[in-house]
Amino acid sequence: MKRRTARFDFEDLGLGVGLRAEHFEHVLQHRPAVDWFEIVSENFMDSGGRPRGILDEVAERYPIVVHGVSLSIGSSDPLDRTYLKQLKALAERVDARVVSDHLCWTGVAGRNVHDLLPLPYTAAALKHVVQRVKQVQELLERPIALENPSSYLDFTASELGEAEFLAEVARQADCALLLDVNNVYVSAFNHGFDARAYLDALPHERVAYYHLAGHTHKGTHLLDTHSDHVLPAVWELFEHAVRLSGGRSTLIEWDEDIPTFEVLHAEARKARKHIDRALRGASRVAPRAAAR
Amino acid sequence: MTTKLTREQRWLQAAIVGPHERGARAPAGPASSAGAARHVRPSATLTSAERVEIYSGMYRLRMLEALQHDYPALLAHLGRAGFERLMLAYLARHPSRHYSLNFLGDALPGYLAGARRLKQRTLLRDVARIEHAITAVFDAPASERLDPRSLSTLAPADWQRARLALAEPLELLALDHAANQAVTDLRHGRKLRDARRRRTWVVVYRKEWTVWRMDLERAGFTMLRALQQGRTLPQAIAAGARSFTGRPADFQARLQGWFAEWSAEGLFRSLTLAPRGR
Repeated sequence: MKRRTARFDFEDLGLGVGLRAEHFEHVLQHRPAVDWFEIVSENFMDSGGRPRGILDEVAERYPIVVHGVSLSIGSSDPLDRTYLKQLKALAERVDARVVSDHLCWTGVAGRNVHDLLPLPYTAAALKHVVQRVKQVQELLERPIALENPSSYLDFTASELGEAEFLAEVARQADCALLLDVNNVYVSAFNHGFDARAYLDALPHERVAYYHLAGHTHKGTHLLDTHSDHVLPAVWELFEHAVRLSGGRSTLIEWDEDIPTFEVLHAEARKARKHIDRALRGASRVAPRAAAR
Repeated sequence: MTTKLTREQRWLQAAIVGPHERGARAPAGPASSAGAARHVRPSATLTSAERVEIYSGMYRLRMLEALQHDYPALLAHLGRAGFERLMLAYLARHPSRHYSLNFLGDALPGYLAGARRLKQRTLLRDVARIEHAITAVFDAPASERLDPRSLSTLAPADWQRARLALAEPLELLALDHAANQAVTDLRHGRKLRDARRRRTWVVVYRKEWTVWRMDLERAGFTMLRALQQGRTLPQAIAAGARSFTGRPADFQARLQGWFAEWSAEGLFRSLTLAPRGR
C-alpha cells in the first residue's frame, strides 16, 4: 500500500495547455507564464523538422506531459513495439512528467482508423487491457495514465459500466488515470448515465491530471470537438472531481477553431477559481471512491 | 484464436470504413441496421446504426483532412469533389497502417502512377511527388552542412579524389511535367499554366525549418544524383557533361556557378577525399 502511495504521489504542475503548431511562434517569442504544456506524442515522434526543434526549445523552459492517441491499448492486435520504443525515447527526451493515452482502441487487423474507439466493457476485455497496460508500463519503465474517452456508442456485449471498467483497469494494472471531465459529461449525455456517479466510482488517488475542453451539441448527441470554451456544466462537474481528488494538474484542450494563445491561456486560468472554490467546500463532501 | 473482442472490433472497424471503401465505386450508405443492432445499443435519440455512422462520418473527414493538408495543390487542381473521390479510392487500396496520420499519403504518388484510367495521370503523379517530397523533407532530421568556403579551399591536386556528400533531408526529382511551377501556381490559387509533357528536374531541400524547391537543368540533376550515389566529384561532373545538351564550353562556364549556388544553399553535407591510388 505504501508503495502505491509513493508511485502515485503526483506533482501538481498547475494549469497547462496543449502545445499546438498555431502557437509555436507565440510561445517561443513571448514565453507565456503558462505552467506546463501537453504534447500529442505522435506529432513529434517521427519529426526531425521544425516541430521537433520547437519542442526541444519549449521543453527546456516548461514541464512537458506526453499524451498519445495511438497506443491502442484495447486493440486485439499485438502492441506495436516500434511505437512504444519511440514513445519511450520521446518521453525521455522531453523529461515527460506524465505519459498518457486513452482507454480505447484505434484499429485492428493491422489498420489504424485514427479514432478513439470504445471497447465492449466485458470481463475478457478487462483482462486483455490489464495485461497490456502492465506490458506497456514495463517497456516504458514508468506508470502510464489512461484517459476516459468520449464515446458515441456502447456495445450490447458490455457487462460493466465504463467507470467500473476503468477503475478496475487502474487497480489491477496499477496505472494512473487522466480524468477528462468534458469526456465524462459528453459520454454521460450520449449514453444516459449520471456523470457525478461516474466520477464517484473512480479511484481518485490515481488521477494524475485533468483534461477540460469545449464540446458541440449536435441535437441528438454531444460531440467532443475541443472547439470552444469549457461549458458551465463541465466546470461544475470539474469542481465535483476536484473535491474528490483534492486537486491535480489541469489542462485545457483546444484543437479546432483554435483561438489566440491569450484566449487559450485565459481559459486555463479560469480553472484556478473553480479549483479554489471546490477545495474550500471539499470537507463537506464524502468521496466514496477515495474512501474505499 | 479469434476472440469475441476481436470479432467485435473487426465488425465495428468494417462498419466505419466500409461505406467509404465501397464509396470509391458507389455512394456511401448507412451501416447495416440489423448488424448494428446486434452489436450496439441504441440511445434515447439515435438508432444503433446512427451511432455507428457518427464514427464513420468522422473517419471520412479525418482521412480527407490529413490528405488535403499534405496535397493542397492536388486539391486545388481537382476541386473538392474530384479530390475526395480520388482520395477515397486511394484509401481503399492504401488504408492507414501507421500510428501517425503523417504517413497516410506516402503511397499516393505510386498509386497515381498506376491509375491508368485517370485523366492527366502523369501530371497528377508529378504534382503528388513534389508535394510528398515537401512533407518528407519538412519532417526529416537534418544533417550537418558543409561550410560553402570549403570548396574553394580544395587543392587542385585533390579534386580527382574529392567526394561531396549531399546534405539531408534532400530529394531529387526527375519529372515529366513542369510540376514545380504547377505546385507553386496551384498553392497560390492560380490556374495551371502548362499541363504539357516535358522533362523537368527539381531538388527539394530544407534550410533551418523552411522547405525550398529549386529547378535544375538536366546536367545539374545528373551531377547531384551521381554525388548522392557516392560518385567522386570528377565522376559526377563527367556524368553531368555527358547529359548536357549544349556546347561543352557552355557546360564548363556554368559549372562553377552551379556548385557555388548549391553550396550556398546548403545542399552539401561534407567534403572528403578518397584514399590515393583508388
